[in-house]
Amino acid sequence: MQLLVIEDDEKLAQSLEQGLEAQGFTVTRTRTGEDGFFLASQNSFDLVLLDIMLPGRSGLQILSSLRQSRLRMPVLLLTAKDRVSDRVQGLDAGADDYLVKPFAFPELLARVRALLRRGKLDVASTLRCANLELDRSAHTLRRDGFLIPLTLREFEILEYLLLNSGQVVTREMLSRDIWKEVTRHTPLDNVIDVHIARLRRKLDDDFSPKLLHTIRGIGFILREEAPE
Amino acid sequence: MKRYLGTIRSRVAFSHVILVSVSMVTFILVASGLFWWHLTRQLYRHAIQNVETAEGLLSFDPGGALTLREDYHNHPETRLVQDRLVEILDFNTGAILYRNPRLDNRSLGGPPARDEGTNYSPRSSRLSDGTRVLMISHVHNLDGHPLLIRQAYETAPLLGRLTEFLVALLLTLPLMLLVAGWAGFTSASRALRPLEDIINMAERITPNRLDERLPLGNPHDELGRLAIVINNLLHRLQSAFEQLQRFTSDVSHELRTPLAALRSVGEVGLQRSSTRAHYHDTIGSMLEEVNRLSRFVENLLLIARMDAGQITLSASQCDVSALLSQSVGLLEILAQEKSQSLTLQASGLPLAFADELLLRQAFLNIIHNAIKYTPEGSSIAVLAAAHPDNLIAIHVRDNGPGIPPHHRASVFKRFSRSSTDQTGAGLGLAISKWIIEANGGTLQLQDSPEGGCHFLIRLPALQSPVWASAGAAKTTA
Repeated sequence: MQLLVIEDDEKLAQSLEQGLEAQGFTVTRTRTGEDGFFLASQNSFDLVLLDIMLPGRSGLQILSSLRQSRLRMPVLLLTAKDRVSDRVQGLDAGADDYLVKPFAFPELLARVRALLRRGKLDVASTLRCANLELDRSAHTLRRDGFLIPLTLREFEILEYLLLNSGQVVTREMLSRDIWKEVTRHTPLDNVIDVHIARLRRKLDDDFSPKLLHTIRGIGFILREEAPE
Repeated sequence: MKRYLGTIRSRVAFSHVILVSVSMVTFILVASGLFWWHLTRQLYRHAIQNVETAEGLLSFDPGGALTLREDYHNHPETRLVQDRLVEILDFNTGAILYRNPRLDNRSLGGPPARDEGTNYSPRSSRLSDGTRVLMISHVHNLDGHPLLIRQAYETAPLLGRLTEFLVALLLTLPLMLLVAGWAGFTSASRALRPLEDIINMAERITPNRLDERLPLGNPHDELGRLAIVINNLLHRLQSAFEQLQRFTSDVSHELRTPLAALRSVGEVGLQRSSTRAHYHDTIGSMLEEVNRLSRFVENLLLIARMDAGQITLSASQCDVSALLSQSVGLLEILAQEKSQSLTLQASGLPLAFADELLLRQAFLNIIHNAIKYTPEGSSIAVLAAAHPDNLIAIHVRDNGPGIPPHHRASVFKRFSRSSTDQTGAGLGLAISKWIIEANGGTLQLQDSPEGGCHFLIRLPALQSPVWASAGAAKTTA
């Protein structure tokens, strides 16, 4: 998968490149809008990460030119502007998604995956991780064959973690995708933590290997091996 | 001219001078007119007396010629006697019977007119040689002969007196104008002195000296009111400026703490070579601080937008009891964890007209606050009821330790938090208060004699009839 990162902040661009390459993407990086537009129109990228505030032509201008040249690759806007009007402006210019700085890297990764996956339906009715088995149509969870009762919210969280199995899920992602909250706020973070703690008790207390891990400072991950 | 009249003082002095000269000239004209009128009247009166005296001194001598005895007067040197011009005619024939030496052979007016002399007929006239005179006539019967006696005085001496009077008055005019100008200038200067003080003071005021106030003279006159208005303006500026300074210093303090933590965790982590797990922990700990910082910056941005009025409410009809039950439902699990009882009583509430998203955030903040600061096992009650005066009252009450009295006043202030808590930045309640007030409501900390903490939210209820009629008006328009 070929990704193009157009970002003028050297440090941020470098960390994005490293992070995305560690996930198996091939990353091309550039600092100005002009170069970015040239690269995007000459090569075929699977996705473009575009900063809005760039030296020279702004990200939004690049985006409009790209769309006018009938280039249809997904574009994820990165910006420090977080007002609704800014979002609308970005999406109107032809962006596929919008991420406000400072963002969590796992969040970026999830959005990139979602954009690349778009159009491909996820129809698996049973999600698995090690000896954990979630039946999405029957709404049941089994581990080692034992039925574990879940509340509706716990079911949704676990389903989300399983869909992103092996990837870090941040509190932002849970807050937006499970609780459908527009803004993130402290009370909700505490609520998420309690739900995760309860879910972990049900999943892992009586079983091994331990599956639901907390990554300090970032979020949660569902996978077999414990993080170092 | 404009240059010399640049100051209010000189303009006031100038207008004084104009005013005084106009009134002085008017006065002089009127006074002179009166003086002239008085002089002539006096002259006529003397003339009439004189004629009456002269009538008694007239006689025909044996030759039939008319004579006037001149030896009668006690004071023959009197000007009224000396200066008079006398002419006596036969009223019927118009023949001139007598002319006094001063008149010589000049005529006082030819043959008598028909009604001349019946009532002295005072008048001004001109002699044949052009001399201007004031004259009276009288008819007198002497031994059966009707005589017309004319007596006149030259006007020149009178005019001379009038001129003297006029000149005397005009001579005082420049003096009067000087006095008026000086008085105008000094009184204007005195009246404007407070303004001078205001100017000097205003020049001295800088951001560092906003505590200066203008001196108040008489608080009821115009300049006093100006000073009061400017002082009030200064007061508002000062408090806004101080608030900004406090805000900036609070913000830098709040930023400094997580930055210091971030730095020391990073530095300590790098100091010794350690295990992967240790590095993970170090980085994780740093990320936690970064999250704290990001959250803080987000809230600051929210507050800055609130202050700048950049938040537009998207108000709509909203169901407060639904919002409350959502909020309580969301936070219930936190109360469960602390074995607290969290109860909600809200039914039969009228609709409100508010921004749902913001209002929900305020409810969440306030209820979360109660859960956070109330110890395990206590109870929190959310009670909402319709108020008769078209309000929705929402009480959030707990039976925890409450808020210490010295801290009550600053509960809603930014960066205020209880001394035992170091987790939040103390912006939650400030933001909640702003949200509720922006939606037309109030948020107060109530006294709770039975202990605990009691927040009262009041929101205006939607008056359905008004709303319905407004809607109807809209459709017909």
